[in-house]
Amino acid sequence: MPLPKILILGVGNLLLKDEGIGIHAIRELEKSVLPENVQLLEAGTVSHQFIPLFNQIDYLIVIDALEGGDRPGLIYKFSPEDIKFRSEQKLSLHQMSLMDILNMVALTGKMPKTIIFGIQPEDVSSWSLELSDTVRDAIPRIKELILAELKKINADQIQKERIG
Amino acid sequence: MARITIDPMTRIEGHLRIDVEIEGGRVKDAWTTGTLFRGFEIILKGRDPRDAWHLTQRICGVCPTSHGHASSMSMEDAFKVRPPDNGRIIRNIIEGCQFVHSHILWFYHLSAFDYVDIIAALKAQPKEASLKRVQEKLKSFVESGQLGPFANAYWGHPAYKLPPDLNLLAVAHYLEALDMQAKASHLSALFGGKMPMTMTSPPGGSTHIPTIDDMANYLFRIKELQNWIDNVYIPDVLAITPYYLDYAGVAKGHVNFLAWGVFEDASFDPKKRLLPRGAIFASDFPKLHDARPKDVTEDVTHSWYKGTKPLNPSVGETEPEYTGYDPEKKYSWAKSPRYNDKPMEVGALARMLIAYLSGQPTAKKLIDNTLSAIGHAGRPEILFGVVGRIAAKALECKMVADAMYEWGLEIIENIKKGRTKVYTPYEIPDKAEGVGLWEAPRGALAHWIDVEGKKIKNYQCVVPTTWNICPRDNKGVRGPVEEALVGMSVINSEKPLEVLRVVHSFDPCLACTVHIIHPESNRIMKFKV
Repeated sequence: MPLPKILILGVGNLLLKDEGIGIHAIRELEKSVLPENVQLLEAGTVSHQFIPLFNQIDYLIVIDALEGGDRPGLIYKFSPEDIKFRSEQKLSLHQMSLMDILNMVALTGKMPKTIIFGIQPEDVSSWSLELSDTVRDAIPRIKELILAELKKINADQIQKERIG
Repeated sequence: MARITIDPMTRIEGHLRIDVEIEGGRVKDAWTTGTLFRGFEIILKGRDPRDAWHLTQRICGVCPTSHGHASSMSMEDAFKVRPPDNGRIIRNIIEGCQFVHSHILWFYHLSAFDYVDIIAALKAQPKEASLKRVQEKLKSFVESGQLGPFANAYWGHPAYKLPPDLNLLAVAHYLEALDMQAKASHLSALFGGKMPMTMTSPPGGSTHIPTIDDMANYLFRIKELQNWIDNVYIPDVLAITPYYLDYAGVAKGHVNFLAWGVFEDASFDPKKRLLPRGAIFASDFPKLHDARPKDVTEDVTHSWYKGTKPLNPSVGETEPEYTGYDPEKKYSWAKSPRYNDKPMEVGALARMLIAYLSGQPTAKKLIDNTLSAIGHAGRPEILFGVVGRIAAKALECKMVADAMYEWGLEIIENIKKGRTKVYTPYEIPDKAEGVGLWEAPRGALAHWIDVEGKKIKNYQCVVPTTWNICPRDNKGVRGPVEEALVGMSVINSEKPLEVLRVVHSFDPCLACTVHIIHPESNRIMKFKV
């Protein structure tokens, strides 16, 4: 059995300070040596265009800003089925969120196993290409958590093969 | 009197905001606000003109292709150059992909749930196995409390009228539509390099030289889309419409329509485009008028810009001056475009009515058949308003997909005859002015360019959503969406479904800004790491 296809998706708008954390994290991960079954992608503000891609992978790891009302830089790890999300009243097609898109994928029945790393931002309304210090300081930990996750996914797969 | 504000982005500026005043169960007055400053005009100043068709695609992630084309056409007008035949056809095909993609997405993923009740779909008693599966999936979704893309609609509102079976069928087609919109995007990428932000339509034509293999692939896929539009999209619209005929001829707005026209003819005559150029005015409907760019002005009386008088975009200015939200004074980042001093509705309805009045045979046949099917034969004016906007998009989608198949055959004929040129070289003159008049799926789109010293001296874009959601002008005349909202009945001001139906019917397109994750409860605390 080949190793599972893993996609790591960095979500965010790079122009709006901490809103760009997903993209900053992807650029940091690019500097590491990653297993060959892993693909990195800067997703920007996400759209329907990603649906076919989500259908082709086994694992999806998302890095995004998350408004949890806690201290900036705090990291959350969960799966979409763990909690409910606020979905906005939509006036325009531009307002489809990542969670909306993932739910659409789930409805079409070809949902990859998904893990989301959400990072509490400090400031998402200033125009800046740089992260706040509090959020930048979380990057090494995010990287560590993701590398551990990758190791676990691949080890589980190898384990399965041995048993199988 | 109740005042409702629909402003989905609570944390940051960036989207469309709607304010309506309700009195006696009806909308008494309305204000539409574009809450984001765009500023591409400023970014482009001083740049090489050839940057413009790449950069302006970034105005919109849903309809980038149309901006790229309007931009390249503005330069072709300025530089006096025209694409060769295959270049012209490839652009039509890429634009067509975007129209088909956008209309399917809009109908099934933005508009349909104003009419289709998800919760009622659970009460259907389907016999077909495939529908049973969809219902089960939907049931587990709803039971998990995770409504996702269906959250925040006004389920159970008395204005939902479809029987349960039809609701369920629409949900099943919503899922199929996800595949179809992806197929249309895939075709854009086949000729455009990628999607969004296609790479192959510079001034002068196209940089993609189609092969017979490309064309075989294309024809096979476009046939699949045509079949789906004929057998699913159009029948869905025709099945849903009879339940909502109270929305026919409602929310008409000013009943002035403008289209620059789209899908270039071999003659390059804008009146011979598949969807031709023209204007319609309420005052003398059904007379069809010519549409000329010199008759466009933009007013900033109620917009956050400096400026005292309406200007033609060829000499337009973009000098932001934010003074806070004040519906009496300035309340939008959108300017107020006017044609012959009139606010104009743009979009598929405008295009299809103009095509109909110009005698375009396919449009004429499609519209006449539809009017007969809904019991209003010979009365195109019944299409003014919400139902007409929905029907026009569906019919246009079919018309465009059918034409796309023919364009594919034309390319093959050209290749067979050795006419494979796609690009005409040109020199950028020191000084030149031009305008690109085209259509995005959402309506009339124009880019004005002024070149001096081979650099961009001035650039102005007048985009479809600005026409539709513009604020009042210097005479206090409302914009098209504002006018359409006035008089709408609203059963429950806590759940203004009727307002959404009107706004969605215009398919507004504002900026992609921020899509942060918002958990609904504080259960997120459990997931700290």
